[in-house]
Amino acid sequence: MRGLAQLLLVLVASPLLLGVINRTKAIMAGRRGQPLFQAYWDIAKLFRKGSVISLTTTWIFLLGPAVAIVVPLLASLMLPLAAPRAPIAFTGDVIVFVYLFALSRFCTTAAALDTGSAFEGMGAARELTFAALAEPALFFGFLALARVSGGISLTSFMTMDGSHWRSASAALVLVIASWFLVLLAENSRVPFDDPNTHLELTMIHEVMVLDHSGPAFGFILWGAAMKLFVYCALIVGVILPTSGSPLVDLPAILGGVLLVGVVIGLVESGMARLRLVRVPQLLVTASLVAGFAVVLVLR
Amino acid sequence: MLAFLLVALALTAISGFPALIFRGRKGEVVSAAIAVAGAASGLTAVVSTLRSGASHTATAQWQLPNAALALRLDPLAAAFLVPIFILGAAASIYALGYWPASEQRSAPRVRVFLGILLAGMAAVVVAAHAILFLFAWETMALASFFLIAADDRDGEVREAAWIYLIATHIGTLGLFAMFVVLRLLNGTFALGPVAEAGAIASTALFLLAIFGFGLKAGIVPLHFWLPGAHANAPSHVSAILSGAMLKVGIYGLARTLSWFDAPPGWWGGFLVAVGLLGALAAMLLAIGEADMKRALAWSSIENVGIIIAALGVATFGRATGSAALAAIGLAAAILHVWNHSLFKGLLFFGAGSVLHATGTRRVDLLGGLLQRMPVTGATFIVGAIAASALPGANGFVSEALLYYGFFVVAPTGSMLGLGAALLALVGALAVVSFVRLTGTIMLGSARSTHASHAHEAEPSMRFALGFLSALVLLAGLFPAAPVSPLSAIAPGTREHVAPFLDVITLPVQITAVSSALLLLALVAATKRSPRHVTWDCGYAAPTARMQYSARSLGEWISERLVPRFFRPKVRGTIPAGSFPTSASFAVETHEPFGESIYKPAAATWARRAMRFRWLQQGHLPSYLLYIFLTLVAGICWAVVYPLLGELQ
Repeated sequence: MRGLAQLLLVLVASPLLLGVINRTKAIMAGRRGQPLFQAYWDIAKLFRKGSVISLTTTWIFLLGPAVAIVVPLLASLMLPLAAPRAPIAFTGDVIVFVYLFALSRFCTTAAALDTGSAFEGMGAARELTFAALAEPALFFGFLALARVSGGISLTSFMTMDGSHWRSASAALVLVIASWFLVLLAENSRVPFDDPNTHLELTMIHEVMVLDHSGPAFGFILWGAAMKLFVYCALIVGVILPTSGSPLVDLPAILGGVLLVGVVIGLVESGMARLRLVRVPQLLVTASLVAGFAVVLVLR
Repeated sequence: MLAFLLVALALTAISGFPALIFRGRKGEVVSAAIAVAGAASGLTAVVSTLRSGASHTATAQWQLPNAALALRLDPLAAAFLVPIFILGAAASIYALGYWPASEQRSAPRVRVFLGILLAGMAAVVVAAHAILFLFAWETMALASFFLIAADDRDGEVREAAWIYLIATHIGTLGLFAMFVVLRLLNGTFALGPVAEAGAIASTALFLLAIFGFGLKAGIVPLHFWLPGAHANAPSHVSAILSGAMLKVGIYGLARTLSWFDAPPGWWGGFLVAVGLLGALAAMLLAIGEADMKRALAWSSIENVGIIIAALGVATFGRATGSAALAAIGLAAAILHVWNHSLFKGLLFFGAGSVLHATGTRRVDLLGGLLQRMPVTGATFIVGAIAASALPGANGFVSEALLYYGFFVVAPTGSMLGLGAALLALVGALAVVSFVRLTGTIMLGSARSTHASHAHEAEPSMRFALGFLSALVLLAGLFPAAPVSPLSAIAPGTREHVAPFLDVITLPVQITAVSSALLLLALVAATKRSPRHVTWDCGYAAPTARMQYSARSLGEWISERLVPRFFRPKVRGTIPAGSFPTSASFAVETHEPFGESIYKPAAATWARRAMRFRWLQQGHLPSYLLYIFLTLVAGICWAVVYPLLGELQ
């Protein structure tokens, strides 16, 4: 029951995050910007539309969108959103969490290659490479948090009582900084990727889905919003101590997620996309930063 | 139970001869039937051993001095018999369509040696005496040499087979030394626990085992022979070599480690480091590989590294007295042995179908085969998902178990936990490598006439592909199914491993089922959708050659991010000037360890050895004379050595 409620929450709340980011960017640029709920209208519109399918493609082309929406939903069930325990929580669930997203990556990049388009192949190559470089950062973070929290599940990482900030604040700051970079890279945000640009050569995620249309594209957009939500919630959950009362924790975590959205918007307003050759360097930096966190807690 | 195993050994050993005697289709079918019957008999013995957990032994006299015909079928041996028999049966069926006598001159010979190889491997695994072990080991090594050299009119094949022959014999030399050390410690050539060994003797035994067995298993940097041998053998043989023969090397190492009650902790750390760094190196090379079968061979080296790391975790657990870690490590290693043999067998069969249909192993000449070969394509994708260790297929289960081992050790503050981050990098690179292979071979549009004229594989090949992919999916969707056989091998499985395998079942099944349903819904919804060419940003005449190629997909990693040592060797002339004329481009096969390290060293030693060239007369009598003189010298030594001791 609580699992269903949590699924609904993630399904409904995630497009708002995109709205918050866009509104932040609009305010910073002195514009009025699109409506806060624009992403909802976009997704609804896509589900009403028909689609055009490329002659080159096979069922793999549709597997990408299908997995892209299943994976973030399932991953969100591993997060304890304002509860002492996530609907799916067990020792070692972090492994499944990361590998679900890897499965989604496999299917979306394969779907991109299925079109035979050079642009989409380019996007797939970048997505695969950058995600590979970001993966160690996530796991270094998990190792550090496993040492700090004494447990090996997302539930134990996200329900610490606040004493972790006294005992291991330096390591936590490093992990959070590193994970924020991973969040930006995995969710195709500036400075790794620019979700707004329409020049395909500079894009990673957007360029992989050029040929998807209609409901399939709606799945992709919605899935991307939920993935962003899950990553934001993960970081917020590690930062915030839990009080134990859902009346306090739920607003806290949702507010935190939207606040991360504002921060993403500020980052996107404040800097341009990095040159592509710099992207791997930044990701390796993120991994090393998280590696330092592990070294700090190992002593 | 040994009776079933002996029947299996006999049947598989003779399984190839009908094909040699009755030329043509009938002989092949009979031969495949015998191989399947042998496998069934062997698997009966395996299942009953794994169910009861008992150990069966038999000993017979042997006329050789210091030798005995001792067999031992215990759970550890049974575990390694599984891939031999399953893949052996599948390969003998697959070969009916893939390597028939009507198309291949070498087909009867390949069947004969394949049967001998399978029997040899099974004999290695159950041998309980060093002399018998070495006989079986050499049978295996020689049979596989003739199999790799099946297509012996091709120079590349002959070279690969030759390098393999040298490599395997260097490894055997290491095993000779290892068994001598064992005999010095235990006083017998019978294989069994090491009684009491000093630190130096046991370390020597450990390092010799890593060298001797590691050469066979393909532990980096002892893998230099492997990509060439596995790529140039007929594909069903490649499946056996990758899926079963590498595992025999791992069996040797696992068995040797089991002889020590309390191995030192650094052995575990060493194995984890060697395994994971080797896996990383193999993946970096796989991403730059232009030949699909060599890319699969690199992936085998990666998976061997992962298994070695799991053995390291088990060893570390035994050294530190952690029953949980010992159980998790050993269970992960055995499970990955099974899982890898299934999905790599599947992938090599798939690569064989592609090769059969298109005539090329070059990834960049293929494309769009999923449309022309729906069964081969779909099963290859299942194999690719498994090889990338993604949820839903079997590779994930064992790799997740290894992660779990690293995470169990992490809260204690041990450095071993860092293995998880390295494994994460390896796993993510495996995704890159297999998306690259799947994308360029199966998806998109055909890059050459090789691919555009492809046809679906024969029924027998499709059967083998379907059989293995069903096993891969079943093992992936029911992760807890192997708990009971594993608990016979790794004590503590029920307490420490089963809970984890139970809890990952639900998320894995939900993912697979809901993705599949959603896919079906999308397929149904878009059935009547208009179809059009891929949108290429308004470009009027897109061609298949504009697609991203395998090389461009791997370019970021294999040509920009890795050290020069790992980069593929690219030869080419760039078009220049206002009226460019010629341009060329070629990627050479690349095995940096062999080329940059071993070849120069071997050349130096070959020059030095020239001084003894006069010994090599090329006449049989002179070689027999050398052997005779060596024997006499050995006997003299054996007689004189104790006398010397008495004199003192």
